[in-house]
Amino acid sequence: MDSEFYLTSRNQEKSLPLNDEQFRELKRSRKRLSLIYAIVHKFRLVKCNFALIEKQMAQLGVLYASHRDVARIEELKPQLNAAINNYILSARIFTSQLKRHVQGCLPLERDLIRELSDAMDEEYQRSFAYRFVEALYDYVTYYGLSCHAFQSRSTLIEENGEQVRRYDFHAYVERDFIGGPADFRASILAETPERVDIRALLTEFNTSLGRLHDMAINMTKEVFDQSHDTISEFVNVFIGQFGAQYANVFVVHKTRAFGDKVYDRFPISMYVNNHNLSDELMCGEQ
Amino acid sequence: MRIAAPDDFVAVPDDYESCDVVSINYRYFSMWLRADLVASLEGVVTEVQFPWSSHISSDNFISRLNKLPEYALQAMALLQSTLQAKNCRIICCEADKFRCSLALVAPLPQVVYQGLQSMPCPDIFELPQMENIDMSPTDYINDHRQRYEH
Repeated sequence: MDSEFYLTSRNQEKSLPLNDEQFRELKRSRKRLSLIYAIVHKFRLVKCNFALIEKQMAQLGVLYASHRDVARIEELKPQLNAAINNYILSARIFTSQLKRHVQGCLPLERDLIRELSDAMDEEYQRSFAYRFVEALYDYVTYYGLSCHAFQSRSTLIEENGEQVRRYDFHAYVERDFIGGPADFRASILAETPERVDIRALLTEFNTSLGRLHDMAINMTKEVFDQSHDTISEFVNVFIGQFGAQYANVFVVHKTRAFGDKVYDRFPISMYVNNHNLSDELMCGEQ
Repeated sequence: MRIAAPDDFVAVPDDYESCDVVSINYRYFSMWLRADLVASLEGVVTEVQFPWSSHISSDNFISRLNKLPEYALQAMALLQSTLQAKNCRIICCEADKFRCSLALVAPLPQVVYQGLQSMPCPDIFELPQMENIDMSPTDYINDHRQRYEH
């Protein structure tokens, strides 16, 4: 196949030729960085969905404690349910893809992948929250409902020597409403308490996912640094040649076999100059 | 999750705690007298059950039971104003979609009975039923709280 490889600016005004080996190196580095970023993005998605749940619970809690706006209560209830469903879906996206992403970065490191598999099994074994959320995914996929009850409570407590009224709000999954073993994973249903406090459940589950996320990021750190250095080098050469106004760089593979059309094209600057993820991966070249 | 006290919160009477459980096909709103005050009470626990009138039941259906706490507070205020004897105290008020139940502690059940007889027939209830409970005030409250607070 007669191919042409080159770096180009976003508007394709400037280009710099690459050889076959450089192209492959860039393609591999970009793939690895995108996989590692995917791990981070998916974990962040879980955390953001959790923050949305907390926000909506706080709003609903205030509404139930005041009972002034019935229409708003009825509007918010399905929104909270949706936020919980989104959380569960995002958690499944994270857990189902995690190994694949690490494996994509480290295709020859079978021991590391086994270690990650074992860590996931361990989380499943030791945490009811992990098992329950896994099973809840199947349930919400079928029924679309992840929250059955709320509790709005006011209690009298002593604070700074004064008696004050404290307001609390909880959302629950009710075991009896889940159905029977035909509707929910039987082994999990058997260990499920009458009511499951959703916030406490997801907080515990977040801790499990956090451990898996950190493990995956540590496993891929070396590969991340190498890939990051490789791409940075090419981007810097391109900027050195054409100026910082052409900093948004793409790699192009053209082949005559397709009538001189673009066979492959992918961005690279976005992986080394990522303003969104610099905190998580310490990779930002601002 | 702790909620910042809203400006327009439900006016639960001083010395009472509350719990509102909202589910798909049931709802319970309840208020209990503070545990230390309940412990200091002596007397007989009498439970008075007021079934909601058809008008209130219909309104509860329309408002998806979101006005239940409001009606329960009205019921409690009404009974409190009727039974003003110092030795007669409401220790618990529970409301669901069928009824509002109030538990009182009085030296004798007759005090509650006489109070009810003197009460003008309220619009929001059907005929009440009275039951004497063979429990101490503290045991009664603990038993009822456990039903709703997990």
